[in-house]
Amino acid sequence: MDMPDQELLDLYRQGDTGAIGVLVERHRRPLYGFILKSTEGRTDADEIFQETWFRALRRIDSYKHQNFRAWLMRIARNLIIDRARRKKPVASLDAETEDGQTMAESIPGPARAPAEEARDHELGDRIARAVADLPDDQREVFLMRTQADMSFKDVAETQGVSVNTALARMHYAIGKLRAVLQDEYEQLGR
Amino acid sequence: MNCQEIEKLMLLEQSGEGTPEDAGTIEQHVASCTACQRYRDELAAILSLAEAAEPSDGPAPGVIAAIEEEAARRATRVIRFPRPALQWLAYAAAAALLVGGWLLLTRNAERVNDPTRMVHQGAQPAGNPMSSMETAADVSVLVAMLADETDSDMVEDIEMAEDREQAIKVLARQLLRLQGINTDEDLLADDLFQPDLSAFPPTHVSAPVTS
Repeated sequence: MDMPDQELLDLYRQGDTGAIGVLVERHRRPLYGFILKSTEGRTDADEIFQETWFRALRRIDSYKHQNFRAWLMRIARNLIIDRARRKKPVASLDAETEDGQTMAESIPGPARAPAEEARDHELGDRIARAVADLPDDQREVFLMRTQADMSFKDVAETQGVSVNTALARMHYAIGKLRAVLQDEYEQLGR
Repeated sequence: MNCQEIEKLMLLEQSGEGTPEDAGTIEQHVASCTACQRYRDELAAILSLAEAAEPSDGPAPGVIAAIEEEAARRATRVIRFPRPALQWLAYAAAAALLVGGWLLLTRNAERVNDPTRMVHQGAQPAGNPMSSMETAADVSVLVAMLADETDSDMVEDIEMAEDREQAIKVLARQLLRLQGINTDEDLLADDLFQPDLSAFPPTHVSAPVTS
């Protein structure tokens, strides 16, 4: 069984630097996924990911929360907001990555028939664009849920709002994304 | 329960936060509501597509290595003072705050009274870079007086601070720490936690007045 985050943090505080490596690896994908989809490409995402951990390390002695991932996400969110304020236009999932792809193009397709895969790829592309167009608060909730698998309770705590507000934001986001799927569903005769 | 409430219950169910009672309520409603049946199908499709859209790899390998290096560096430089030293620091902090605050007020008062300069209170927006930098520099002096060797990042934070709100937050945190009070870092970092700075009106010093 995996060691809980809190125990790994205690180990690090006692001088076991390897414990941080385990934590970084454990939270790498959800944290990076959230950051990447909230920023402008991999260079920005890498910088924010690194700074998130640097800040976490700096404050680790005073960390006393129950959910380490939610805490990391909150630090990342503050960094993303700071950067967006400085740079202005907030991240777009259409933004090209360093390898010349859009975020949507980097979406891995499921292992299915090529036609179906192409259709889902196109759908993923459309949804990614629609997510990028969501208002900031709604996009955050959507990405925290889908990329970081955070509970609404943790999302609400991170955003400093009630669970009902977080739910309402997700509900609005889903409503807008449903419109993207509408045509597709009609074509499928559902 | 109306459709909108059922849809929110579906979101909670999907996140694993629903109760068995909620599940029963949803099933009962969906059995006779085609709109909510459709919502459930489309919700599942959207979430499945979005969850599949994770980046194929994480940050560049150098990033992970840099984090691990920083972790190792921090682990070796942590020096913990015994309690008496902390108490001494707390007294020193209180004294330094008094002296530093007095110096800061005196300096600002001198600026205000300087006949060769004109002070436009409120003529500039709160985020004016000039006033922000001056205040950050003032606060930085205080923090430098209060900071101990173990936490030079505090001074670094102040020097990097882009506005006076951030500078004052760092100062407040350091003062509380020196008094032996653990601060809620997240609360202080929270955008919603905005210190009341009305007691520190921005002062902007313009060019000397020529008659």
